[in-house]
Amino acid sequence: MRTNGFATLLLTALLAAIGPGTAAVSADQPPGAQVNPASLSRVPPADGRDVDWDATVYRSLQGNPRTLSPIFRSSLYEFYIAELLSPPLVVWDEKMRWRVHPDLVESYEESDDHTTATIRLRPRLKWHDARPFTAEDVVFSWRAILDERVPIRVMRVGTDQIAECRALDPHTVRFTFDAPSAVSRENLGFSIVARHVYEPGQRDDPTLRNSDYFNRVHRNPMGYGPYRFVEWLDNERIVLERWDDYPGRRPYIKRVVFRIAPDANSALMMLKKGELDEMPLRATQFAGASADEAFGRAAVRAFAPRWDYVYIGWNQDGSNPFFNDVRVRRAMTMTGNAPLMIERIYHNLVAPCFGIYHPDHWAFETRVKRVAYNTQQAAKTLDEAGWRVSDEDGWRYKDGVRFEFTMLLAQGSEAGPTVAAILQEDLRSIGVAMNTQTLEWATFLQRIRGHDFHACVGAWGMDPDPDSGWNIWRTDQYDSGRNYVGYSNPRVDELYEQARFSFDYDFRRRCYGEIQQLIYADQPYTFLWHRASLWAFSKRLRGVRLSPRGIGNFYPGMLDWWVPADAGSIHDS
Amino acid sequence: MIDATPTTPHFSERGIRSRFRRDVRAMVGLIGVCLLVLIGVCGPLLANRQPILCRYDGSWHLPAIVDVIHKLPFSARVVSKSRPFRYPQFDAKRDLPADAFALWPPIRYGPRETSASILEGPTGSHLLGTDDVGRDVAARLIHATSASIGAGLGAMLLAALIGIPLGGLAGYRGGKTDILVSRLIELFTCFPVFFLILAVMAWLGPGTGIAGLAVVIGLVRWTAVARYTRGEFLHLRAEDYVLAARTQGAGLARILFVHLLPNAMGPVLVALAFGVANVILIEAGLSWLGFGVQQPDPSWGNMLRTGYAHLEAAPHLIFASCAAIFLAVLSCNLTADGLRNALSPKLR
Amino acid sequence: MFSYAVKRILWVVPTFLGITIATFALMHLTPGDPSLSADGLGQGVLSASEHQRLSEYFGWDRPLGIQYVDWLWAALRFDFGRSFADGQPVIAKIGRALPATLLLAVVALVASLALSIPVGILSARRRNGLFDSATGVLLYGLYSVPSYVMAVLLILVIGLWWDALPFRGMTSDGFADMSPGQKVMDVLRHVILIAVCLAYRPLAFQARFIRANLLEVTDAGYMRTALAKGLSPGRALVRHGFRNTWIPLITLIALTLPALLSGAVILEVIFSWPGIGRLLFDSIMRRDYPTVMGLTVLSAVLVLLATLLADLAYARIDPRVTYD
Repeated sequence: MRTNGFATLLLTALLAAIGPGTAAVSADQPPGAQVNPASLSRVPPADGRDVDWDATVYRSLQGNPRTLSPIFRSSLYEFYIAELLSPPLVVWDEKMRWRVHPDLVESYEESDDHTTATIRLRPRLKWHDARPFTAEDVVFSWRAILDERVPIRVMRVGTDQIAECRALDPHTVRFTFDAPSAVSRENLGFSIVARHVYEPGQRDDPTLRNSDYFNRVHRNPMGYGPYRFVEWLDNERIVLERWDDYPGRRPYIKRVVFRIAPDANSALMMLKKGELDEMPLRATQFAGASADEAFGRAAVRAFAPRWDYVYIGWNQDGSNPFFNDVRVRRAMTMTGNAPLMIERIYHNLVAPCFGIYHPDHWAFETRVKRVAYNTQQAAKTLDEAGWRVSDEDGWRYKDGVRFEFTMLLAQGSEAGPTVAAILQEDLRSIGVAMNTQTLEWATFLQRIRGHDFHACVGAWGMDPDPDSGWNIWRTDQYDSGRNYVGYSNPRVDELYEQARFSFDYDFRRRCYGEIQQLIYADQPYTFLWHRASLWAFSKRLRGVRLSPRGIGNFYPGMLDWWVPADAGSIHDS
Repeated sequence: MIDATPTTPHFSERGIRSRFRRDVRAMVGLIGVCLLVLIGVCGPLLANRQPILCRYDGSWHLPAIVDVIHKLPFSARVVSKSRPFRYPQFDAKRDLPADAFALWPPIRYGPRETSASILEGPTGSHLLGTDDVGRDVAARLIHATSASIGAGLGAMLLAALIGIPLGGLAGYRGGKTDILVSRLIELFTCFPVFFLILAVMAWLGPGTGIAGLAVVIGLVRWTAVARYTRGEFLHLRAEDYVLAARTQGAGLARILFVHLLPNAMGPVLVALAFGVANVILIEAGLSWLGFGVQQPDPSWGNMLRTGYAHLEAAPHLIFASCAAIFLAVLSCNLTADGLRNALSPKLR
Repeated sequence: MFSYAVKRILWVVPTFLGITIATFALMHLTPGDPSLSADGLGQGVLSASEHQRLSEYFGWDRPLGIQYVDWLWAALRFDFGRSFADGQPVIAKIGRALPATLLLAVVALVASLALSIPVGILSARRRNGLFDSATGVLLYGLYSVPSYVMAVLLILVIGLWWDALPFRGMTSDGFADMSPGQKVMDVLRHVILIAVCLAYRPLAFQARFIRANLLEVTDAGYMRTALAKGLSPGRALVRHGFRNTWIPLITLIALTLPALLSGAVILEVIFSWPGIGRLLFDSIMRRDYPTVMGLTVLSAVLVLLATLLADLAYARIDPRVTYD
């Protein structure tokens, strides 16, 4: 596993944190204590001699996918499968750098004014039914995704920034963008479906969804990628197999079985019994594994930073008397004991964060100073803001209004209840009353989108380009975007605009750095921490790397995995 | 419910009482129920971060007792804790002088106090260990009692308020009324309860976890009470005293509640007692699925849920809540069964 | 009797409509809609305009009354629409989930009867004897253990600590390649834990029910005659007593069957059992309105049928029951 400075630092902290508490830190560490061992990321010999080319790998899915149709996909699990069956033309690498998919694209060119992009496909590409994969398929898919009659959920976002998509010849596609922007090319990664399969059904069912024809198509997805679909048993498993006619690089693993295991307890047991080769671990499981011999015999652990952040959002749109005032929001952050929360939820595996970018990110601004946990300072700040402790009952009041608010939590959130419990106690100690309300997801989202809340705990995943913060932080995204807390700073609005339409790396970096500083100073959220990918892999697996997005959604991802030929394994015996 | 035995009302009250007293199982159940109610009411005296009685700054204080009083709605307007115990900033464990006299509850933690390390097994200071946020499991178990018992009693009260009049009317009137009520009962039997809960939880807003749950369960469970009342009234309506009351021109309400209800009360009480056990089950089940009482408020069901999430790391969480649910349900069932046997002694 | 039966059957129609209207209304009045539901990544990132487009597409922005009438009109022609989640016909989804629930219900019912009948008879034979008291206490205790508590304990002890039985799903990997015998064994192994959880409370109930009914008939004249004729008490119970108990028992089973068939939601969720209860839970979480309505219709029909049959049976037994 390649690590940069920050990750190494974290790892040292992590080993120090779990080592002494659970087992002796020395040579007699139990085997389960291994984190990111060198064997896990080892690359195979160039001649492929030691590779077991017939290996089956058992992966875990935390839920049954709704659909395996590449254009209708919306959940993480669906992405894991789609990237093996029908990989996109443009991808991210494990450091979250944009690149074209080398197996699919021969050349990529952008016009000087950055308004058009031309992709030349590799000539020998084929669908799994042996029909040629052509530029027409790309054009058809783009049309289908943007077709008003097709009820697509997620795939339209971004794809709708492509104004025109034209096939110049069977192997060349030209894309036209409305406005030249540094992020336009990221939108070329939309899913591609087979025109010769979809078009015949389209006449009877323009929705591409509500007919038995498309039900069949979506349950038996056909792609053009390195793996082909074998079977899908609902809530049990999905099986893929290496497609040997793939013209690109041949993956080492022959069969991939995705086992659907939503319950973390039973998944861990399956891992220990060798019935799973990988699974995400909860922090408790990750920490507990260091003393678990059965775990140590079967698996190793992997740890990687993740580009996302957990936050407490303060609704500052004026609908409540508390959080309009930046001083109040700063006081809230000072009261949030992030180190303790991290200890309780994450067993000290992660570190508090500095705002909207991960320290590994190219736009990260090192000059941001973190607001530290300090309840006395918080009390003083609240006094300054006019929220004074009443002699009568000890709570804080301003203009006769008691400082009492409700924190909205989503059911099933890993961090939410603990964050709330710890914050509640600390707020109490400075005379602020916090209630909590836990809502089931759909209800929670409806309240958040309607700006009908005081405070909430949430998490955002970061897209590699910082432009993805556009619809969270710009003032005009209050009604239509994700600016649920009603944040508004004209300078931030302006910087997002300038950075989006610039192609000067240094200029963009300065813009986004300033945005991070401004937002952190305004404290619209209490930024808590970046989560980490905590994973378990069976001992026989090699070539595994994690990206800031975790196990999937980057190139080469699973294509690098391999199993040594001499690895004794109960699966293959 | 184990309510298979047909009941024939037995009118000698003294006979019923003495039969009930002689029934060991019933008495055990009744003692259990009384203990649960006691724990539910006096929770703050058993587990609290403030002392029951103490001397501070030259005067005596009773903070935990005020906590008990505050369980009554609106009581906070009448009675409040003395200074400084009413201040949220005041931490009795930290701020009380070591030499001051203080009578502490057996468990010196509140149900929301995040004081210790997490997922700790049972130790001297935390008798039942701690949960995933570092809260004392024993304190939460005690304070959850009032949620479960409160939900049980509240829901059955609501169920009785809806079920007895409707069922009684159906049984007494018969005919069209009976048909309508019976269809209504069927309607409620087919309802997806989860939607009702989602809707009520979303509409009622914060702090109403237990009340909302009691309302939902009451709205669903009144059908059983109604069915019982209907059956009893159907039997009784032909009795002479009812006919007599009717010929004397007694009003409908008078006949239903003055003449019929007291005589049907026994079986209806049995239904209600079984109902309480059932509500405790339902409440814990819903909290288990994540729909009942929400964190950080404690409930046996959500403690079970937390335990299940850390099944291998901390099985002690499971055992505590399992035992509590089991004992509560058992006590209610034993009491209800004893009551029924006392009413119809034939089949002991 | 005939006119009673006709009236009773006719009353099913308004009840059915009432159930569907109430469910429909409540479902749509609950906050959240299908585009906001939780299923992995991509949730909640839809812009307001995209959300609007989806609402129009699925028609959940139209007046409720119109939506209901449309649904009803289609449902009358046995068209329950397509799932919002994946575009599959609701009927097909229910059809796929039904066998698992059916299997579970049958196994649980057979197991509970196979134990409760002998236990009931044996404990009635010697009232308040050792066996009666012991099983009485045991069954009582069992009856007071919630099924999900039992489920968690069984999973912890048998599933995790002993690792003796599977506790997730209905089949193992490689099920397709097994021989028919292996297949049966595999499914049986998976069904054991969840069926135990579903069966032990009815078992306790039925055993006490049979005992109580047997005790009642012991006092009846024909039993005394049988005993006087010299039949042993045990034979008398089985031959004459039990015969008079099975009619109420059948009624009891008929009335519990709908509940078994509409699925044990909590148990199916805990054990990842691919049945009706799990489907209902998932559909509610996803706000998959057509599927929820389809499942409501299924459970309504089952309950209505069962109560209808029970009512008609009672009317046949007791001629005083009439609709005036």
